Order: sequence, then structure tokens, then C-alpha cells
Amino acid sequence: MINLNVISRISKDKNFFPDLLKTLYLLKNNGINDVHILFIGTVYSPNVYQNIIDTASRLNVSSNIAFTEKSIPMNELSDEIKSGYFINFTIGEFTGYSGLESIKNGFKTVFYNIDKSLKNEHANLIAYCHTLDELTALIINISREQAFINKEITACNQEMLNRFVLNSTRKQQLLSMMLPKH
Amino acid sequence: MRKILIVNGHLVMGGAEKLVYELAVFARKNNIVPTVLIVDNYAREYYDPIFKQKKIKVVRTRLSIIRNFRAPLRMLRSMYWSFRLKYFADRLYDSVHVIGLHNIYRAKDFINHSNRFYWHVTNAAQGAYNYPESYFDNPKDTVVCINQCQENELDSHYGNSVFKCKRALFPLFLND
Repeated sequence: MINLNVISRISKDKNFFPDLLKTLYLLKNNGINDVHILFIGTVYSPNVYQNIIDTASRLNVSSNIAFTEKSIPMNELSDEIKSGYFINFTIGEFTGYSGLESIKNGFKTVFYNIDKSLKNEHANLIAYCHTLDELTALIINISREQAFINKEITACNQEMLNRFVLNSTRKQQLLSMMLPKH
Repeated sequence: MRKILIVNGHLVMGGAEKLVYELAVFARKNNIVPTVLIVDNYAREYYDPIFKQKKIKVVRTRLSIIRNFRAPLRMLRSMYWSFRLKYFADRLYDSVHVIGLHNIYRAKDFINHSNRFYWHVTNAAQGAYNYPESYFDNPKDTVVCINQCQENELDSHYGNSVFKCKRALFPLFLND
């Protein structure tokens, strides 16, 4: 069983969920049926929520998805959930705070680009998936050689985290924004 | 003591709110006193107890005066903050940081300050840019992008000439 977790409120501005259902569908076509997605987040849009359910039904992957229907702090997730893979939506190479926090919590974090116009702008890193096909391929690889891929994802995640610590130049830049007269 | 004001509409578990948190914590680490102003929302949310524990002041009020005689204390408090921020914000705070372009309307006409920073925290893929051009017409204001894609999106949507305000790029960060 491969558990994928998506931490995001279920809302219109985050509605990239159907792509993940297509991944489940493509995986099933490749004979991989034991992939499960847990959507972790409050339902802000009943329409978006219903659309996920309808799409899952149409693609015959309803039994592979579940919802918490509420937001849960990362440190309060169960150990079983924590041991899964956390899919985080990115814009090109840009990662929001949920992805950073996910890595900081030690979760295996996979980034999926949702801006199709930026599909070629990623660095060639294992945890970054430019397209749906790349995400599907990564999960297939996980199903084949999980221990090795886990190691690679974790190493990639740790390297990423270092980029978000403020160096002295950026610290000064932020200070000059907070105290502009000085 | 140096002070900053951080303005947002929520303190729920979300990315914009995490930026509020990181800015406030950074300020505190650098001997700057942050005040977090949550406008038009009186709910107790995820970051409220976290800020309380860190002794970071959170103010929940309205800046547009609504006569609400059923909640006189809230109304008085709202009048107090509206007055303070309309006429004395420059004296009270070194800078004002508004999180999200969608929150500019809560601050632009209500908080008069010569150093206002509008942090842009979404991308075009999350929804069309429908902010009025007047948001960017004050040369003293600064729009802060958190990624390069946003800068390109703003240019292609509005054109560079729309921006009379300053622009800056400051990627997301973690304090520790």
C-alpha cells in the first residue's frame, strides 16, 4: 500500500485535485491498485468537494480516496499518515509554506507543478514532478523500489529546506523593509 | 521601541497566516514589536493561542465604521483603531505589512502610512488577477512578490506602467 497525503483546504483556488485522481486512474491501468490518497483539509467549497467525488467515481477510483474534512496540524497526524508521501502543489519551482512545513516535519514530500505553462522550468530533482506523467512515473518507481526512492526523496527534501533559511543579506533586506527609515 | 503592523483577514492554518507568523517572529527576534491586525473577523483561529503564547499582540477589529449598538464595546474599539490608524499610523509604526493583494482594500484607505508593503501570496493559476489598478498607484507603497513567477504574471496582466508603487522580490523564509 502506498499512502499519498494532500494537505490543502478543499477550495476553488486549490482545485488541482482532479489531476491526482487521474494519476490513480493511470496507476490502475498499469496494474497498481494499492495507492490511496487522503485529502487533509477543511471543505471550504462543497462544489469542489463534490467534483472530487464525482471525478473519482467516473475514473473508478472512489475506493482509493478519503477525506478528513477538517484541517489537522501536521504534528497531530497519526504515525500511519506521517509515514506516507505528502503531495504538495507548486507553481514551477515555487513551493509554499505547506511544502516547507511538510519537509520540516520530516515527511517525504513530493512536489507537483500545477502551472502547465511552467512545466519545463523545474530543476531535475526527484521530488519535483513537472507533469502528471512524471508524478505517475514516480509512484510507479516507489512501488518497485520503495527504500531507494524514499532515500532519494528525503535527501532532495533536506537540500531544499536549506534554501529557505535567511542568510545575512536577506536578513538585512527584510530588516530594511520592516524599518525603512534606517 | 521599533514597531510594525501586520494586517491580514484570518489566522487559520494556511500559508498566508504562516507568513504572518514568520514575519512576526522575525520582528521579535530583531527587537521589533509586531502587532497583528485581523480585520473584519472576530473568530478565534489556529494562530491565536500560538501568538498569545509568544506574547505577540493580536487585534481583531473593523476599520470601516459600522454602527453596531448591539456590540458597543466592539464598536468603540473599532472607532479607536480606525482613528489611530487613519491619523497616527506613521507615528505608531515603522512599517505596515498587508498580507495578500486581496487584503489591500482593507488597508489602503484606512491605514495611512508612508511605508506600506503589500505581500503578494498567490499565483495566477489559483485565480484570475482582478485587483483594480488603483491598488498600485501610490509611489510610497511596495508590492512584495514571493516568487519570480508572480513578477512575470503582474507584468503580463497589468503591464509595467501600471505600477506607480515600488516592487520587491522576497522569497518565503523560515526563522528556524
